[in-house]
Formats: sequence, C-alpha cells, structure tokens
Amino acid sequence: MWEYPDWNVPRLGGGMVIAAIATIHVLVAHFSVGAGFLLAIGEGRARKTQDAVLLDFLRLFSKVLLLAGFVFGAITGVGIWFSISIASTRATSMLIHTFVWFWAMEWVFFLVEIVAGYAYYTTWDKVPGTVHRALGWTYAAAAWMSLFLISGILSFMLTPGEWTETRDVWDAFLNPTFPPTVALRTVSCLAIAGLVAMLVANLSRSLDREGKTRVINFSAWFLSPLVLMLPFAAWYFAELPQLAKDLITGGAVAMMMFFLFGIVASTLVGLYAYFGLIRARRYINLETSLLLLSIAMIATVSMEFVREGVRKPYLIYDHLYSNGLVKSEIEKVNREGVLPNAPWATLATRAEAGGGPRTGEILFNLQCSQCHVLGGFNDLVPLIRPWSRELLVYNLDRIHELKPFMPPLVGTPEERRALADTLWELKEGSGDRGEEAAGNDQPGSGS
Amino acid sequence: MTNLVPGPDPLGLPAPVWLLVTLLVVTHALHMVFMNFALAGSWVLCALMVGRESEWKKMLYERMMAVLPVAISLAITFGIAPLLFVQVLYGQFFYVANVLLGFFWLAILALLMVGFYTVYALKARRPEGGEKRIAARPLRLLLHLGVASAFTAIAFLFTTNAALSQHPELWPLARAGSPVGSVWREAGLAVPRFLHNLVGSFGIGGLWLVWIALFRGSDEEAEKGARLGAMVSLVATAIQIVIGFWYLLSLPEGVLKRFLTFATPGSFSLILGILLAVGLFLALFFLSQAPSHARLRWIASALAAAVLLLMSATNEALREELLREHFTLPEWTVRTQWGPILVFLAVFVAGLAVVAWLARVAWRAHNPRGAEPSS
Repeated sequence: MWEYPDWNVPRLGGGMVIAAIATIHVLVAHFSVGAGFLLAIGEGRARKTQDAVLLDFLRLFSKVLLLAGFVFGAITGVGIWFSISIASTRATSMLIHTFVWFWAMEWVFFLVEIVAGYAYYTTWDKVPGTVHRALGWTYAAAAWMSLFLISGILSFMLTPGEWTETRDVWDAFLNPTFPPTVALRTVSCLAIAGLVAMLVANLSRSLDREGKTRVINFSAWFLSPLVLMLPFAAWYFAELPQLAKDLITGGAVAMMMFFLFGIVASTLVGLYAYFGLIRARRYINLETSLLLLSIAMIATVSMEFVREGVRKPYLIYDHLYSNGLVKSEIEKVNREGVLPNAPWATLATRAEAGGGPRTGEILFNLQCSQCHVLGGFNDLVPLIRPWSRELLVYNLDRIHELKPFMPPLVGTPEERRALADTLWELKEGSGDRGEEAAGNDQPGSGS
Repeated sequence: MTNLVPGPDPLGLPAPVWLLVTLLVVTHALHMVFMNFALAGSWVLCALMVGRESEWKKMLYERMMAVLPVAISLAITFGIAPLLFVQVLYGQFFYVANVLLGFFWLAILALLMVGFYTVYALKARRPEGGEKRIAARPLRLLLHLGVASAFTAIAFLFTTNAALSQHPELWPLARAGSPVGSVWREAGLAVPRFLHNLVGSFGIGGLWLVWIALFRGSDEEAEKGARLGAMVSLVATAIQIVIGFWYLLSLPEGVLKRFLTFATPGSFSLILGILLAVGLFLALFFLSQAPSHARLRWIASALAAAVLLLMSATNEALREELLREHFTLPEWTVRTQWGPILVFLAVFVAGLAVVAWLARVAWRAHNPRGAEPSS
C-alpha cells in the first residue's frame, strides 16, 4: 500500500530526478568500466611495442578516469540510492531486501576498484611494468564484476523470471535478460571508453598530429565490438515479456524509435570505427570525436530509456506497479478504498496547511503523479483534453486495458468518482488555451 | 500517529538480525575512520593556512593534501555499506526521513561533489610546472573554508536524517513545516548529537595527523606536526567526554533509564566506551608530550579504534531504544539466504586479500626502502 509519504517535485516529478541522476551515472560508470580495459590492454601493447607516446597518453587517461570515475561516478552512484529511496521507496525496499548480499558483493568489488584505481594512478614509473599492468587488470576485473552484479539486479526488475513464484534470490538474479544485459553493457562500456580516449587525445597538448592519430586508431578497437550490438539486442529482445515486445514493435512508438535508434547508431559508429579508423587509419579531430561520443552516449541513454519504458506498467515486472501498488493488493484496495491505506496522503502538507487535500487530489497524487506531473513532465491535462466527461469516467475504469502500459486504477467507486471530478476540474480549469489546442488534437493520440 | 510508521518489508530479512547489526556497526565505524579525517582534516588544513608560514606547516599541509582525496573516496566507499545495512534493518524509518528531507537529503550529493572537486583543484599544480599550486593564498584559504563548510554541512544533514528517522513523533510536524527546522527545534538531542559527531571527528582526525606527520620518519619538523595532531586529538577527546554526558542526559527519560539500569546491551558498550575514552585521553596526554613515541602512538590508536567501535555499537543500541515503542528488530521475519551469504563471505575474504596486496604494492612504490613508520 501507500505507507510512505510522497515526494513532490514541481514540473519534473520524482521519476525525472531519478532519471537525470541515473543517466549521468550510467554514462560515467560505463566509461569507468571500459577505461579499465583500455588502460590494461593499452599498457600491455605500449610496453610490448615500446610505444612511449601511447604510454604517456595512458598516464593522462588514468587521470581522467580518476577525476571522472572516482569523484563524479562514485557520488552519482550514491545519488541513485538517495533519489530512488525518496521517489520509488517501495521498490527500493524490495530490491534491498531481496538483493542485499549481491549488493554487498558489489560493494567489495567497488572497494577493490577504488583501491586498485588509486594504486594504478599513483604508481606510474614507481613499480615494474608487469606489476603496473597487474594493477590495471585488477582494476578492470573489479570494475567489470561490479557491472556484472548490477546487471543482474537491473534486469531482474524487467524480467524477474521464476522469482514471482519462488521468491528465490537466485531465480531473481539469474533472470532471463541478465546475460544479454551484461553483453550489451560490456560493449557500451568499451565503446564509451574508446570514444572518451579519442576526445582526451584531441585535448592533449603533448601529442602531435601523428601521436593523436596513433592513439585514436588504437582506441577505435574498443568501438569495433559495437557491431555486436545488433545480435545482442536481438537476444535481449527475445527474452523480454510479451507486453514489452509489443511495446517495442509498435505498441509505443517512442519505445520502438529509441530501440531502433540505439541499435542503428551504435552499429554505425562501430562500422565507422572499423573501416574508417582501424582499416583506413584515419585521424578524427576534436569536434568529430565529440560528435561520435555524443551519438554513442545518446544511443546508450536510448537503450536505458527503453529498458525503463518497456517495464511499464510495472517497477518490478508482474509484481509492483509503477504507482507503488503490489499486484496482489488490488482487490483489497478496491474493497477497502485507497484512503484507509494511505495514512500519509491524508496529512496536510505545508502548502495545504489549514485544509487537507481532497479525495480526488489524493488519488491523483498516489496513482497518477509518479508519471504525470501537472503543468510539467507528461502532463495529464493535454492527454484527457479531447475526452468528454462520460468518456473520462469510462476510460479511467479500464485504463489498463486501453493502455496496457498503465497500471489499473484502484479505489472504491466513490473514490474513482472523486478522481474523475478532480481530473474534469483540472481539464476545465486549463482554460480557453486548452479548448483551442483540443481542436488540433487527434483522438487517442495521448499516451 | 503511530499508523504513520510503515510496516517492515514483507519480504523479510535475508540474514539473521545479529549478523546484519554486526555488519552495520563495524562498517559504520570504518566509515567514521575515513570520514573523520575528511571532516576534521579539512578544518585543520584551513588552520594551517592561517598565521605565519613555517616549514613544518608546509610539510604537514602537503602530506595531508596527498592523503585527503583517497580518504574522501574511502569515506564514500565505506559509507555505502552502513547505508545498505541500515536500509535492510530500519528501512521503514530511514526512507520516511529521506522523503521528508527531500531536496535537503539530495543536497548532500551536491555538497560532496563540490567539496571533492575543490580538493582536487587545491591539489593541482600550476601548468607551467614546478611545485607551485594554483591560486593565491587568500583564495586558497577561502576554498579550504568552502570544503570544510561543505563537509560540515553534510554532517549536519546526516545528523538531521538520523534524528528524524529515530523520532517518528516529529514526522507530522516535519511534513507540515520545515523538516530540518522541526528536527532542530523539537528533537532535544539533535544539538549534542551533532556536536558529538563533529568534535569526535577531531579526536580521530588528530590521530591521523600524528601518523601522517611521522610516516616518513621523525625529525624536528615532523614532530611539530605530530604534536599538533596529538593536541587536536587530546582537546577534542576532553570536550567529547563532556558532550557525551550532555548527549546522554538529553535522551528521553525512558531511554535514559534503560541505559542507566543496564536494560540494554548498549549500557555495556557505553560504559566500556567511556572508560576507554578516559584511557585514550591519558594516552593522548602522554603522546602530546612525546609525539614521536611509537608505542604510545599505537596505544592511542588502538584505544581510539576501540572507542569508535564501542560508540558505534552504542549508537545502534540507542536507535533500538528510541524506536522501541514503534518497532523492535525481533519483529522481522527472517528468511536467511545462506547461499548468497557464503558467496559474499568468499568474495569478501578474497577482496580483502586483493586490497592488502594493492596497499602493499602502493606503499612500497612510495616508500622504496620499505620503511615502516619510525619512532
């Protein structure tokens, strides 16, 4: 039920705060994992071929890793914890109580990663080359293990597999999309690290044109696995629940487009890297490297967006709805009502001091505001503007059937009516501007 | 009002209560070791920049700046573990406090980010080479004050969160008004609790200074730095003992009574902690007279570690007592995941071995002769 207070973020909504922090973190974390392999492999090659230029570059690159990964990456990683605990409290609690030992293992690898990273950065020219390479490989292995463990937990949310029946943590961790998630993320990590290396090479003052080209051509090898994006994405797709597949294949146009964009953009960057940078040994300038990195980042974020989007109407598939209600609780809430099961919602907040919120507003806050922010992100009013009052009432009762990516609306008949009244008032209150816009809307174009 | 307290997660605890509490206490103490240096050390760095310049101040400053980023990283890393275990054991209280604090809670991230990057900026050397750092002295002092203030603000917000999560009776007030204001106005123990955390950090941070000053051997300059560290730790410990009693006496009557009548295991950790704190005070007194005395340094450090661990245990006992009327740990349904626990233990032991190897390699790289801290 709704046992926790809600967190109201005007215009954006809590979900978008999570998305903002998580997006930044994913990119930096991907870079941190891929950078480990780039450093370890690069140092091996540089020492073997006695390539002082590449070795000097790797020294600089390790500093970038330290400043980006160990500060920004680590703090935004904690930031995800902070934000999900206030915006998706119930899901956070379920994940913690299911996976605490996997998170504890991940923490051990994170500790090794941090210590290995500092040891690596601070011991250039202070330990023999073989030992330094071993430090680099230790960092890379620990960072990748961190990715491996997190992938199991993230993929669980979309495909909990047998867990919904057995509640066995191994069923939860070894879920259907876990292996393809690891594969996809590994490829992304290597690519982002390679692209950041190209950017750093271009920014370096100590490298001449020839040196930059050599570093760029070497870094391009880390982009070539991007050609595997297509088969890995197909593998991932094959393991998705039917509804998620339906959303990607046209049920939600945005999901389909983002999925395709992610695969196509990644594959094209991979092909360019192979034919242009590895085989033809071309040089790319600062602007081009920045452009390629931006495309790869947008592609990565697109795939993350799809992973989050096709999970709807759930936070934990087939178990916890996106509005914080467990599937098995629906009958009880329909029988008893929402209000008796939401003690925090009936408390007057600071803005409402002197008079508590009305039933319809409470129902909106509890069941709609996680995805629809009034006057802000994914605002509900434009979506219901073309609807008559009768259609509004009719649709609310079967919203999960009309739009399968939405959770069912729950509550007693009186509470549902109160929500319909509130939504109608919001629609009416949106004014002439709304009426005007409604004339241009296509029926059913909202989502 | 009590119906505002959410029920424990129906998924239950994935391990016995004793194991989770032990891990919470130990990892919290480890977090304090590094966090205390980051917090107190950032203020000491400010102090070193004030007044007449001298060789020993410069040496101590340089060495502290070399250690500080690693200490901040480890404070974050070791902070994640207790954050994990407190969510498992007391999630229903912790989460409510997080939500009520909202952006204040998220502000910790921004403060940490700004503080951490400022430390790196202060560490940077001028691009033209040489040993000179960037920015003029007044600006550097200002930046150091900014770092110290940011870290102190983080301590303030963590104390606020702890007080709010352990006083459910304040929740309606926090919801209706300012969440931070309601805690500091209404929770009687918030002020001594914050001071206990803040001043305590100087007790541990001072000992860090002693080690940092002497880790390349003892000479006149190093000894001056170590003496400063011992004095900081000594004075902080003395004040801390007084604040500790203030903190104790500010507890709600029922809770205080349970501590004084040995109705909670926390009484034993508290008494032992106070006794060892007195011992620590004496050890620090002698250390401040002879800062390069190796045995005294080890004794003081061992006592400080024991006090930290005992106070961390007392802190958990206090949480249990403050929440007793709302929830007790035996109310959890336990569904132990033995398989994952065993895998975790194997990973943990292997991880420690790797960390030990990494530390050894790094230490030897920076101390080619393999010199241990000499006396």
